Amino acid sequence: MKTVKQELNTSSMGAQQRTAMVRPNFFSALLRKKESAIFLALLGIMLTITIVAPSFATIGNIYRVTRQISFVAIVALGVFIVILTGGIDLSIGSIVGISGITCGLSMAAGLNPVIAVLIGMVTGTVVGLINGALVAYVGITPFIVTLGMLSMARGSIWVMTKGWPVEKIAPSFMFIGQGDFIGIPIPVIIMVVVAIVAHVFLRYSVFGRRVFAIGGNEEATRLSGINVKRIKWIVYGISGFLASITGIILVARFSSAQTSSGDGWELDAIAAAVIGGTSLSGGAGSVLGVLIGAAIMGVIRNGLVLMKVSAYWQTSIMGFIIVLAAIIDRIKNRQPQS
Amino acid sequence: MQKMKAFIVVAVIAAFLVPCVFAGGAQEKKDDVPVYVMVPKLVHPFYEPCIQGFHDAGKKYGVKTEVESPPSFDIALQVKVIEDLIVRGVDGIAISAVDNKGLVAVINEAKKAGIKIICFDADAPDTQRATYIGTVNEPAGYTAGKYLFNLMGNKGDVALMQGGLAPNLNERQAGFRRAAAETKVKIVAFEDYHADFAEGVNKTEALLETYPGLNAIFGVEAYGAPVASTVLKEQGKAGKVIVGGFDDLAETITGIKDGSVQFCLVQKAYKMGWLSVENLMALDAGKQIPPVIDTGLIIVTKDNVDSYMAQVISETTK
Repeated sequence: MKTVKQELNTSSMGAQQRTAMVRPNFFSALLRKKESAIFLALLGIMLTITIVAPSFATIGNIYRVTRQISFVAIVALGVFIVILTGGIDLSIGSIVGISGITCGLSMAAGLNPVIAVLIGMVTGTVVGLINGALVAYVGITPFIVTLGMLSMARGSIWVMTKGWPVEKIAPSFMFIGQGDFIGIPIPVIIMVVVAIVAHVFLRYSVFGRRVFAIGGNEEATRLSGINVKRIKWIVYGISGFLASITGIILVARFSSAQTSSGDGWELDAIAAAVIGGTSLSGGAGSVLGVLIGAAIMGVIRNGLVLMKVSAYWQTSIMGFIIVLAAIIDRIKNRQPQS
Repeated sequence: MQKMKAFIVVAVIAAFLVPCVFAGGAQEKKDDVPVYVMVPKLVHPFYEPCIQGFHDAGKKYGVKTEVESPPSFDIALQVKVIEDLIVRGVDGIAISAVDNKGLVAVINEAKKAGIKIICFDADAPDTQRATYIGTVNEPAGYTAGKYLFNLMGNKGDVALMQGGLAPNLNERQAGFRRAAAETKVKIVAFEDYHADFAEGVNKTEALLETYPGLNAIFGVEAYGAPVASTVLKEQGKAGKVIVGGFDDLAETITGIKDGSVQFCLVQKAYKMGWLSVENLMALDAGKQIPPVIDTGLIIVTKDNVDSYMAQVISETTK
């Protein structure tokens, strides 16, 4: 009797979620209230910066800012998918670093750049899958697993490089980080492709809907016969994979694999997701929101320099904006309930 | 079952204790060869030549040299490393201080335990360290500024890039500003990129947007010059903006060779490591040593870019 009731609950919840989540197209999602609010905030910020520092709106600066944003945005999309399941991935910054280093070392050893890129991607994915296995199958808290991995992966970089950057990077490969196509930087194109794939995958695939379902109610999802463990395992793999993409692009961007690459980026990525309306308890958020969140962070970083804000103030202003976003989000979410 | 459990517990405890007993035994024996340990701030390429000089001097004088790096830039981790070394009972420690006040207690404790302790690269003057061996940063910043402003004809705009607000970097900055005040050069911007290469590139791009007529960029931290060179090369402005900076990361050296970086100031890291051993030995022998030993700087340009390393090593070891 009890099981039947629970099953009924689950299926009705599933149906509700489906209607709530499946959007007819990308543009109607654009108009959804939550994203439009932060999008307006982004426009407001950009306008303010342009008024104070007109050089913000130059083509050259927009070109560079979008490229700067793309690095963090790709990492943020990875951790966003993990956060949707109610988990967290603190190791992404270190995965950015270690994937770049294995990719760089492979190239320095004379391997074909394509193979080197694959090695970088495999590194990131494997590290992510190790995180996922420990979370899903061993049952350790994601916070601790990925915190440990943060140090393990960063430490492995030092073991492999002794702290030296890897410099012998194939010139043909640098296009990924430095080149552009019809005036759009390649990293931005990669970000857009990743975002579209992630959006379609989360909204329209069975797997994607189950990711949301786990974050909404893990117990109910399990009881409805879905292999929750496998999904959790895979989302950490995806997070690692996306972090590795940024790691590889950064190598191409700077013509060298830096050992400090990605250090502390987990905080920027998580902040981008949260500013973009992702719920840290899982089950709610959108790809578009994450992109806007990353854009807000990147635009403000750039704007602070253009507006000649003192270097001593910049870090604390960034922190203030993250807290402010969380407060606004809290107020907005409280209104419909009261 | 209970017995089994008890057995496992005893076995585990024994497994931990046995090496301790041996270690203790080894410690008490204390062979005649003194053990000196170098403690950098963290794992960083800068310390490689320090470590090499430390080991080379150890080999020459027949002392045992080791390196214990804290895993990251964190005062608590560095304190822990020193505490562990006190327990081990080493003879001498050469430390690159993460912080001044934060190390007072543990360095004084080490001294009380009979360990000779000196600072290299980064000083902790409030502690009872016997000496500081390294670059004295304020004059180093002044020297750097003077050299750069001379290249600029003592006028124009310069942007100052700093990676992190560590005291040694702040001192270099102060020296640089003192030199600027003696000329018509204007420091139009000061940015901190927290020793993150990507952030440095982002900020340099923004600076060039804000100050299109910028004459020079100077980096008081190792990434400063490579970051500037990366951006300028990309924008086709290499050589048009004068770039200088501290330290000789491989990218800086590449920049000097291809003309995107005009000069860098190299601390004599090898000499710091070497002199650390010599001075720890002098302390062991009960000799007096000066409280500050300035190792000085070598200015690297296109002319001596291939020979400066050998120059430092040969002048140190002779």
